[in-house]
Amino acid sequence: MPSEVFEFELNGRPAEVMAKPLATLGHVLREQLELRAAKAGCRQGGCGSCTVMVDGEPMLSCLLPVANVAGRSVQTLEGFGGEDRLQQVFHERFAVQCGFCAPGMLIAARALLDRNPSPSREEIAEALVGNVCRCTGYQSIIDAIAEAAA
Amino acid sequence: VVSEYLLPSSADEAAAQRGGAVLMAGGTTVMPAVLAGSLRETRVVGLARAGLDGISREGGRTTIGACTTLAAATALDGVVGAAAAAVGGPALRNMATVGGNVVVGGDVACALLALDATVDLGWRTVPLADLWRELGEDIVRSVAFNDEAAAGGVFVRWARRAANSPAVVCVAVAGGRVAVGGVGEHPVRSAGAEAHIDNPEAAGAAAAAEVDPPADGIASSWYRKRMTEVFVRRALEAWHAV
Repeated sequence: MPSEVFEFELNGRPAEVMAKPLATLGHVLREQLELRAAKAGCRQGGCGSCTVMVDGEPMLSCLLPVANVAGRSVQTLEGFGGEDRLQQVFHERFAVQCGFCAPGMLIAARALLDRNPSPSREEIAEALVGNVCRCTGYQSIIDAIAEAAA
Repeated sequence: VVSEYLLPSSADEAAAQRGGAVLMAGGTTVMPAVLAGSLRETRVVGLARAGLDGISREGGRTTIGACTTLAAATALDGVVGAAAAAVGGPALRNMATVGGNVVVGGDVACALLALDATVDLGWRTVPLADLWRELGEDIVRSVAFNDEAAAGGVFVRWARRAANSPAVVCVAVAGGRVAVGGVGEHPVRSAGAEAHIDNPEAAGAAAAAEVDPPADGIASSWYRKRMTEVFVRRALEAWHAV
């Protein structure tokens, strides 16, 4: 498959890549644009570690062809710049252990708080069902998001 | 190996490019196969820009465009919204589509089958029950169903985990029809359950007797059959309580 040029907005700035149209956004982010917050976990849409925002909605970058995001706005965890309140409370509340799931968790949490600034614990858990964590047992993550929302 | 990926800007254009290609809507079932190198087809036609998304209501019926995301479909009241909300997590539902779920015979397809939904293929409309036999190279444009049946319907589901987990079985009941998913390649109406619609216990037993489910990594055939009995009964109990 020949490569083509694709343009989209990435973390608030214009981005341009040369890639095969069916290459995944996750692959392009990690291997060409050197943004490695979004992880390549299961590559089947089951683990959520590749989650990024596309036009403000969380999506799975491991299943999204780069051609589909042309002209759209992509935000990765790098775009938070370390200054999102969620990143601070994840650190304080020990909601990150190995760290593999954390970028996806943080995107999912941000998407939740953007839509619902004061979610219940149940609503937080529901927002995270697509994000698998094998370290924390989830409670510290839910605690952190609840604190960020408070 | 896939050598071409097209993103046509209308359904008719997609139909013209369709020959021998695999169709992809949200990509949540096609892309894993692309990445695994397990697709037989060498061309992929994407429907993301074909203008097939949107939900409309007219004359007591709801029509859902094939590329409407499951996230958008969760906003619907009743059995279709409940089924859409049961699939995956929020990020997956922002990609996965109603049309894709219908074609692969997932949870939303089960709900729509209980609604006796119709499927618009562009040049003809078929009952959903016939779709999987008749689909061929057609493109699902939209599905339509009766609002009243959907509002009074019930959808129940059993999976290994409460969320983000494929169904062991799912059962939808609406307008006196019973559909069971997870017991084959696509959901099926249960004539036995419908014959015993007023007796949930007998309906469950009749539904289980009809199915010969596959065994896979999610559940054994025996377990799926047993859960068919339990969840058809529970679905009908809930339906009678509505």
